[in-house]
Amino acid sequence: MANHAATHDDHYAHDDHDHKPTGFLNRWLFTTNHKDIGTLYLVFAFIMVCIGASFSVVIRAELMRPGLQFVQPYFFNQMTTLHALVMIFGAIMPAFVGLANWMIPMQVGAPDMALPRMNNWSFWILPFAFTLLLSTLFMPGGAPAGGWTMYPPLALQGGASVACLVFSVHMMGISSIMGAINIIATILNMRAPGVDLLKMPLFVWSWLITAFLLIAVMPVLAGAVTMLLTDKYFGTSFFNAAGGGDPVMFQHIFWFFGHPEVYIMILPAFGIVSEIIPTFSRKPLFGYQAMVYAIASIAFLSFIVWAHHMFTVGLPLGGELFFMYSTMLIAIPTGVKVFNWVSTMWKGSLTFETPMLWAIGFVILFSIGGFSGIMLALVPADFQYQDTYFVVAHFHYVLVTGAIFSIIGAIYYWWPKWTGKMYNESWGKFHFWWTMVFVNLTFFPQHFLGLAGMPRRIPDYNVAFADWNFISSIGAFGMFLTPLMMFLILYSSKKSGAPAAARAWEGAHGLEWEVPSPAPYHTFSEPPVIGPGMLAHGDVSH
Amino acid sequence: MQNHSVHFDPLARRAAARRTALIMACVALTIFVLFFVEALRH
Repeated sequence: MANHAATHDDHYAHDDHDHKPTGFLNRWLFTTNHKDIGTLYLVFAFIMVCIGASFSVVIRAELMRPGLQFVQPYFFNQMTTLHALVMIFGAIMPAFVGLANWMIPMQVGAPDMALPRMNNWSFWILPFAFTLLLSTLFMPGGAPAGGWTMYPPLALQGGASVACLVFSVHMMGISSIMGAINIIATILNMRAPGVDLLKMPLFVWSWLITAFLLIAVMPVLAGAVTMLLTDKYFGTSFFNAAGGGDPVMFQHIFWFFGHPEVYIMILPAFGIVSEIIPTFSRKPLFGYQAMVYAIASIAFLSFIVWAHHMFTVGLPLGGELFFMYSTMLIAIPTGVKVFNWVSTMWKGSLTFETPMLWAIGFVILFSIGGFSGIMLALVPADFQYQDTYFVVAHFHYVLVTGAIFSIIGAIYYWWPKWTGKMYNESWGKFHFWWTMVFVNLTFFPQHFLGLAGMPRRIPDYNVAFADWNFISSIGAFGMFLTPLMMFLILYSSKKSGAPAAARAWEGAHGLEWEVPSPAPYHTFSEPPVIGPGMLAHGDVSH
Repeated sequence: MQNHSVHFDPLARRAAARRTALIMACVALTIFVLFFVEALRH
């Protein structure tokens, strides 16, 4: 196949003498190897995707027709709450951290993450956090049902699940902060000689900025949920109006975390797409430095837009105007990125292997999510859209066709490097087109439902909304098959895929493609000597 | 231009990484405390 080019010198790896730990527990429970921990994160994220998707099937089955079909309203609310928490904190974030673990050390020429034992701890907190969270389904009173935003006083009306929710969010937060610290320490201190900051791959840049966002806002979430905990169990009145507190203050604190959190889930996706598109366009990324500055600008702006989630709570007019304009400013650096991706493809020698399809799908569909975001940023319009299915459509275009598309694209892109095997290209493309059809069938009609006034987070609705809900549910059932499809494609690749070259893709550049495929257990034990053309961005003069 | 921020000595590099991690952990803890104290003042 034209897209596979055999390379390469293997002297940056100690191929067969890889000293893997023996025994299952030693290998996986006590591992400090960045590749093993990356794999653990990705497997964990996959399990969480399956659980979160099963919750969404309950939601869509219930909403397939008007009236109550399968579940009681209170259980429906538990499903919407858990679906969001599991997908955000259990699937998308760990998947990106898994990709960071696998790729950042290899892309900067480091032997491992800077703090490998803390890396192990970061991961192994997560299964306990989610076991605790999901165990609430079996408690008297059930799981948290007040929405993932945990607004008081509603969220505090749950039973014992409130304490479990708060404790599990604390654990997720600690895990994320430790992961972020590790990524910053690795990128700032472990780069090989010659890998200057402005020669790093975009995926590394996007993660460096994301890690700073995580460190800045996860403590804020921890603070907010701790205040919820003390309000419920220790008699404080942070958010209790009767005791002199203010429930709207929770919304401010939550969204000061929550909006940067949205960018935490999309900036690494920008990095991934900026890796894939140049490879399959066989051209360097257009406007590399502009891309870096655009990511940094988006990260900065994410701190001054939080109240656009709260336009209808009764903000002063000046506040609403400020948050409207600051939100619309984000369209500028985001537009820079979208135009740069398109310019990278312009006059390139394009081929459309599976990772490229996911990347192009990302650019188009994420832009739709961006456009509906601009609509939501307009204060007068937002009074109509607030709490409708339009918002649900918007953030699913950003998070599913944005974040998750990029994660799937990244897995197909780096899979040959991880396993040394190619996947079946036809099945990969089938996976993409199947998803493309059903994801739009699921979420595009939700724009219409929202504009027509259907509220979100309800198990029943007016018969006027029946048709589009039916179509949306059919789409969701089709989507539900895609994790299984991906699993089968990757499993058969691992078992019987064609061997992959060191540089699995003809147009790929960067240090990760200088080591053999599969990447040996230990890479870059000695810092690599960077030769001409080895870096994806910029060359090194010796 | 060569990258001058990288410590080529593995031990120095490890020490620098620990220092970075410690600073970041302090930043995170400070933000947590500040938000809590500020909310108390309200």
